[in-house]
Amino acid sequence: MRVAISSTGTDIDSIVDERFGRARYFIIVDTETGEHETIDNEAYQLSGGAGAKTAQMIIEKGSEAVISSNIGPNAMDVMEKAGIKAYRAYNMSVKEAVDLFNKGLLQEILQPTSKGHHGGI
Amino acid sequence: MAKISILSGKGGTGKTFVATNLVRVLPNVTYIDCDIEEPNGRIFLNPIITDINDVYTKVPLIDDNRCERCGICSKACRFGALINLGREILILDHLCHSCEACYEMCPMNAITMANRKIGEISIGVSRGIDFIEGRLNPGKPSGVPVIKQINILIKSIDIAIVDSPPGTSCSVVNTIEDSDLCILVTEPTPFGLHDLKLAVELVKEMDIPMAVIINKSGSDNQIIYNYCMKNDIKVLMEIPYDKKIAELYSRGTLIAEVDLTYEKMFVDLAEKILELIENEAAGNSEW
Repeated sequence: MRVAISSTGTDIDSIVDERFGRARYFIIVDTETGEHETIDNEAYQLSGGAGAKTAQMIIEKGSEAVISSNIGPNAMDVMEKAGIKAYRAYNMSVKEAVDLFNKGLLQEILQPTSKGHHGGI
Repeated sequence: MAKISILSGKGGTGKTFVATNLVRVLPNVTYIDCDIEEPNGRIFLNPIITDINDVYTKVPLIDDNRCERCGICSKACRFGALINLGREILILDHLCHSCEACYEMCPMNAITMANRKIGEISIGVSRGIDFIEGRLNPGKPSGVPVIKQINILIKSIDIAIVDSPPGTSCSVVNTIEDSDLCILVTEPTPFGLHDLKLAVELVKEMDIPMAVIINKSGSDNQIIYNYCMKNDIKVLMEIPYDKKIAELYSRGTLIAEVDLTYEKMFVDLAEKILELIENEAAGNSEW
């Protein structure tokens, strides 16, 4: 299964980014093989719709689950419709988050955890 | 026609207080509430609403028979309003800015732009004062279409007193466009001064004459006077920090209607404003 984890840095030992839409990077891990790739989240500095755009990128990358600390309403809406499940990890490395995910220890995020953020328009 | 816009660097500075009391002492004016996200002039003016017009914007509508889910529309959208799920294109209406990029880019001509209501404009009258209020439905990204529609109405108005949104957003830019005078309400605090500077920059950029009113005036007024002097901006009035104002305001009462001292203050203000506009029209501006 391909899992996308919001990350503050480019390698697997980086800390999970608390934000989803405005996370600087995503690391996509194949949980069977352990292979991973790092993706620049180009949506992170959009004035609006960053969550939705990020969710779109994750769909395109073929991810079946995401791990982050907070997910806003737009991203949640998109992922629900795309059938992607979201899990919560906080204050740990991407690697640790994946380990916990594999053991089934991460809590599923069922509702948006933040109201979303708005840029100045 | 004269358009006088009342603005401020931030919310809660006293725009609506100044605007509503000012219209009460001016003859033949129209009060226009462009603070579309939180229009509350009507609390003080109690207008009788005679007409409500809906405001629409365009959002994409996809013809599923034509759409091949290529995702070009989704890539074209800078606001994340179209998401390609593979089996369908999901449209997030509330993120759409009506830029029509999706419509332009769709190679299959599968997108049309459909009307969606985003807000409304109420028109009415409050004891001799004409009243116009714009209101944006919550969650809509931009109130500019509401303000643009109000601006069309303003063209046929004699004297318009316009209550602007706070800050220096696109909504404010559109609200103060074509004003004859901008009145900047500020508080004599470092925060007030900071926000005032931003507002002054905007008004200067738009080349509109301006003047300042100090609300909740007190011992720190000098920081505002120093700044205004340096920038050649007139200070028209100081409104004292007065518990009576707060009490009446919280009850929705106009102080110019119940207190002679304040009535006189606003009458003086109205005279100064009319004079400033006349001078400007005659070409002898002094600021």
